Amino acid sequence: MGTLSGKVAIVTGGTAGIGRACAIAMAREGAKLVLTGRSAERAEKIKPLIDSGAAIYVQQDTTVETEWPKAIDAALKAHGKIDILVNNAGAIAVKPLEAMAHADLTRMLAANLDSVFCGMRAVWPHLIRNNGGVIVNMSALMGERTAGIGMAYTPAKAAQQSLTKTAALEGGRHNIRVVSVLPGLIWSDGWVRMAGAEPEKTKAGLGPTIPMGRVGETSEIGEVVAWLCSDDARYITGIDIFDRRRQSSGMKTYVRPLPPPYLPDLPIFLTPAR
Amino acid sequence: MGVLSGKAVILTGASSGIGKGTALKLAEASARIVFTGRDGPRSDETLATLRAMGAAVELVRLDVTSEADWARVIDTCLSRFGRVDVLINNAGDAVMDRIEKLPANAMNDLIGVNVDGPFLGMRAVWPHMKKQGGGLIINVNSVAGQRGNVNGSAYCGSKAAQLSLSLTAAAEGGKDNIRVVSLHPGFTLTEGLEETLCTQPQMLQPMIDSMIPIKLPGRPADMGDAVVFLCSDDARNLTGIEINVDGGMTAR
Amino acid sequence: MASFDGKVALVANAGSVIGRAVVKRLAADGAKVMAASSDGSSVSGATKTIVLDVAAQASWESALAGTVAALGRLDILVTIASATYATPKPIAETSLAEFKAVTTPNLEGAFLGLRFGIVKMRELGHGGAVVNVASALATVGLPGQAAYGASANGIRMMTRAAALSCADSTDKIRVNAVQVGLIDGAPESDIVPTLPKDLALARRGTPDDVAAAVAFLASDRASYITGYVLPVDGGLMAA
Repeated sequence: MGTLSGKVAIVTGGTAGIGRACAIAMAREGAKLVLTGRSAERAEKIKPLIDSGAAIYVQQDTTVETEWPKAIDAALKAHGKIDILVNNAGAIAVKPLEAMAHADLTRMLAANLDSVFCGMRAVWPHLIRNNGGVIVNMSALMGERTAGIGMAYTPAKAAQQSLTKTAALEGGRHNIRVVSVLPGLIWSDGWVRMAGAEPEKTKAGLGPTIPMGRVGETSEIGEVVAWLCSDDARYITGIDIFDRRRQSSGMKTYVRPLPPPYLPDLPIFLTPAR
Repeated sequence: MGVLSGKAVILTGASSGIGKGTALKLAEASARIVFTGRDGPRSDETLATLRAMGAAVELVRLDVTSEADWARVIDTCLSRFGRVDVLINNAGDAVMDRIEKLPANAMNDLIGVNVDGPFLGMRAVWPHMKKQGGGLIINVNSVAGQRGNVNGSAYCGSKAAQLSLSLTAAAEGGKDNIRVVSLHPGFTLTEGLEETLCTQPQMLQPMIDSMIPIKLPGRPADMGDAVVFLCSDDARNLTGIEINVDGGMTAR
Repeated sequence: MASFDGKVALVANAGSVIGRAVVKRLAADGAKVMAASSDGSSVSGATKTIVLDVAAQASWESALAGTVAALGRLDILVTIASATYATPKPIAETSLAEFKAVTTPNLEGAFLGLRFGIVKMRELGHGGAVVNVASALATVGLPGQAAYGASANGIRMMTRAAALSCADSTDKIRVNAVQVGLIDGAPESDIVPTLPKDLALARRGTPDDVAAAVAFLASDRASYITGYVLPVDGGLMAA
């Protein structure tokens, strides 16, 4: 019996890259999936998951508030409940400051912050009705470590991480766990496109910049996400101390014990259970 | 009349480097200084320079791991200046190598200077600062206390321990108005480092370019500037913080 | 000792509690200060005032150009994020529009200030310092104020990215942030209305405390400090 047997999960941007890797791992663990993507063609990439009955595809632009019911309704219609939301869809724009436009920030916020906000709000009542659930928000190492080219992208991911923490604190009493995953350099289609003529050479060249000596594979993130959604991670929620001090090992996950019974009068982050 | 006029400051490890740079800035700001230093001739030189600037200054010997020595340093400050407003734990040590190559006692030695030293110093000043209605402790740390670093298992470990010590001391000191701040220089070009590098100056700039966004090394005077700010009234609400003077090294 | 003689500062959101203190302090330290706010109202200590809608690029461009035209140069830029929900609301009860009503002025305000302020300083060629003021509550969850927390964390990291983009020493432009804890009159004091028992300094800070930190980071005494976030929080986030 898989660790996600009987669980219903929505994975946005689930047709490619890290999203698809999440879908594959979660399907293997027995989850029933609703995978979203921006165009019909994208469904092609997850044909095996669809054909096997593990997944259905829903076309959805996560940055449009009114498109969220499409994913919610599809899950409810097919399976009657929702247990898990993986907010994986996002967008990246890294460029030097002078090349940055206002529209870049707006786009980054829409794709990485607003979409996650809308997703969490959309599933929230269903997770409450479900007596709990898990939300995994895909951030990035650049949400915590940055470069000059990250002035629009980094703040969007950092803001998303804060939102994750707030949601974790607000969701604790409903048994809703909310976690961030911060993948580092993960080799994916996006990288292949950016790498140009000799992707393998680029991939090898990136290795020495990383303590582990290599870039990661999408499957490595997928496995972690599947695990975070499982009962093994039942005591993991939110983000703990922001740890600037650690070097990247290619991927980070932030964990924090469930807070004690929610006491609205106290400043939550100062309660002794930390 | 300098911005620190009247303040009595104890500063360790001021015979050269960051300590000396800090001493000069403190003197410029009219602070009264009791300083310590390991290197005899260099300490005397620093003393002479500070006196020439018109500073009220004493030089005392200190083994930072000796409780008795600390008591003597505090006494000197109290008898000469009547109070102790600031303790700057700057004296520190570093031994860098891969973990498998470091001698077994490397960690213990560095903990002695970098952790026990500040611990004993803070313990020694605490009752006096409490009686005075408050005070400031600045523990000079390093970016190495905030990040892991190849070759730094013992050094970074000791500095991280020192950081934790600073944060706890800040939490404990608040009720007595004793502020504790951790100062984190990045790569600082001290006289010692310049001597070491003078045989290979061409290696320095490429290293700086890759390590430091601002592409300049830090100077002792930069640390001194931050210390003067921290000692001033402008910083009265700062405690339990890490202040990085590192040319952007930890901005990444 | 006046450290800003001959220098010009532009303070955005100058009408806010912290904005007023910053204007006053920079002026006291010798700077000519352009106080920018949504209604262009006067601020004590300001040399001139100007209207600035922090979420609008055109407004920023005109405020920056206007500062240089009126006061001759631009050395210091201060942005201040102060938008919050009027009453605390959980994510589940907040609309996207309400969420964005807070994140937009805070995040876009800082972004546009950095984006166009840094380029303007580069054009002028004499270096400069940008200080973003945001909340110390950036790295913890903020039940009831999700958008404010998100904005604060975004600004914290944006500061670092922007610093790295202009760290090259020929530009001599530094970018830092001040992270505000329980300060009288600032949003944090509403969000945490009771002083936490374990707050180290056991008191609220003042807007002047924040202004002092801004002044330090803007000064030449902080010439080796960039990409740094300075907490003015009485030890709030230390333990």
